[in-house]
Amino acid sequence: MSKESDKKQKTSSFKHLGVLRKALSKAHTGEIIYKTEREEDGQIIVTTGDLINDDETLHALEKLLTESIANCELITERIDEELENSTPPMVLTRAMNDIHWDAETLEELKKTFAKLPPIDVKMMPLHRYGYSDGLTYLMLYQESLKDEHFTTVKFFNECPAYTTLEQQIKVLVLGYCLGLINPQVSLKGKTKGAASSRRMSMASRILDKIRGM
Amino acid sequence: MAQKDIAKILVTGPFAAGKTTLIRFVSSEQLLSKDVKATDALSRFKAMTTVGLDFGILHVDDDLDVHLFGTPGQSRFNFMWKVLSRGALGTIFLIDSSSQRAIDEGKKMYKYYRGKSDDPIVIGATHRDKEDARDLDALADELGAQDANMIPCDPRNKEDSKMLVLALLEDVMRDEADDELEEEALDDFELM
Ligand SMILES: Nc1nc2c(ncn2[C@@H]2O[C@H](COP(=O)(O)OP(=O)(O)O)[C@@H](O)[C@H]2O)c(=O)[nH]1
Ligand SMILES: [Mg+2]
Repeated sequence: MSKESDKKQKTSSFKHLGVLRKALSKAHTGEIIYKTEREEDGQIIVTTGDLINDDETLHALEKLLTESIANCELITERIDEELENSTPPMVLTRAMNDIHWDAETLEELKKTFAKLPPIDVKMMPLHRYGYSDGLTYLMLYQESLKDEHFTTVKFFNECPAYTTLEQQIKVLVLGYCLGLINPQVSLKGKTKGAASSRRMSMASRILDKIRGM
Repeated sequence: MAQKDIAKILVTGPFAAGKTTLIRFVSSEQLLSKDVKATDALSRFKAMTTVGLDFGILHVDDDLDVHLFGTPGQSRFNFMWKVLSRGALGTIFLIDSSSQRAIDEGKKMYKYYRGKSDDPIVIGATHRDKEDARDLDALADELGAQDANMIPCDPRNKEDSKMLVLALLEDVMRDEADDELEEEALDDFELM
């Protein structure tokens, strides 16, 4: 019991997931450097938003995803603005397949994700990039389509009982880190021009209509 | 009275994929081929009705209707899709994932569409309940559509039919969104 409350003291922060997200969703080249609460260092090389698919990177990623992280930063050497990194690094999906969180961490992750504003989810056939639970991601995507103000809280609530909290958290972490999950305003904000905003307006009204059918 | 805006959505794919079924679920009003009046907007369409097009109208609001065109399911009718796709929001491409014949035909169709247009396409993989249904990876490979947005679905289920249209519309919105604005919004997206 006392051990547990010890752990609780250092309320986990998951800001390092944002660092990973930044590194992967733009074409960064550089290094992610972190230190765990247990004073262990880790580094992950990033090349134009991609990661090396080797055991070293795998272990560094697994540690980053499962340990309490004291600090984490992205040292960027270069950003290729033109490049759009559209394929998830295999080593990340490998890491996601392998790792587990204890119940307490899962609850904290759930609480953290629940604070995000309404989200937009982009479809990605994650199983093609080595992720073993593409179905739960598909479920997240499908739920997001049904609801104009879709939030992670709704996802947690709508998920059928046969998916575990860990499965749910994993697809959120994955989607977040890969930049597949974004704040909803990004879709409804300003558009590229008049013709574009006309299409946008039509699409948005039809969406509302069909959601209500 | 001002003219209503009309948004077009195409529904295509090989024979028996579920096009008619889908259009029925998401239309307020449906016209059988033989009912189509030769109005200006539809005159070209009327000329095509002999080959079994579907047509549905969804009334969105006082100012907007959606016209849903189901184009015939053989690659020799690709030209119709090309004509109809001008100005369309995008295409829903349905494919019976249990039929080799459909997949062979679908491959030709899909290749043609991608060569002609960058507009959003969502692929609905249907007949998943059948024993011979390909898994999604194999299907994507066979169609040459590895990077497409492919969604397993059964159009006989209304929610699934809606889902496909919603998926397409989300893709349309994403296409039209200004990427730069996205970056600002991303700053508020930290995990606290
Ligand atoms: N078992 C099964 N039948 C389906 C599915 N989707 C459509 N159908 C059936 O397949 C037949 C052909 O559908 P239809 O909408 O006419 O296809 P179309 O030729 O593309 O217009 C109908 O009997 C539908 O009820 C599916 O996912 N599974
Ligand atoms: Mg039909």
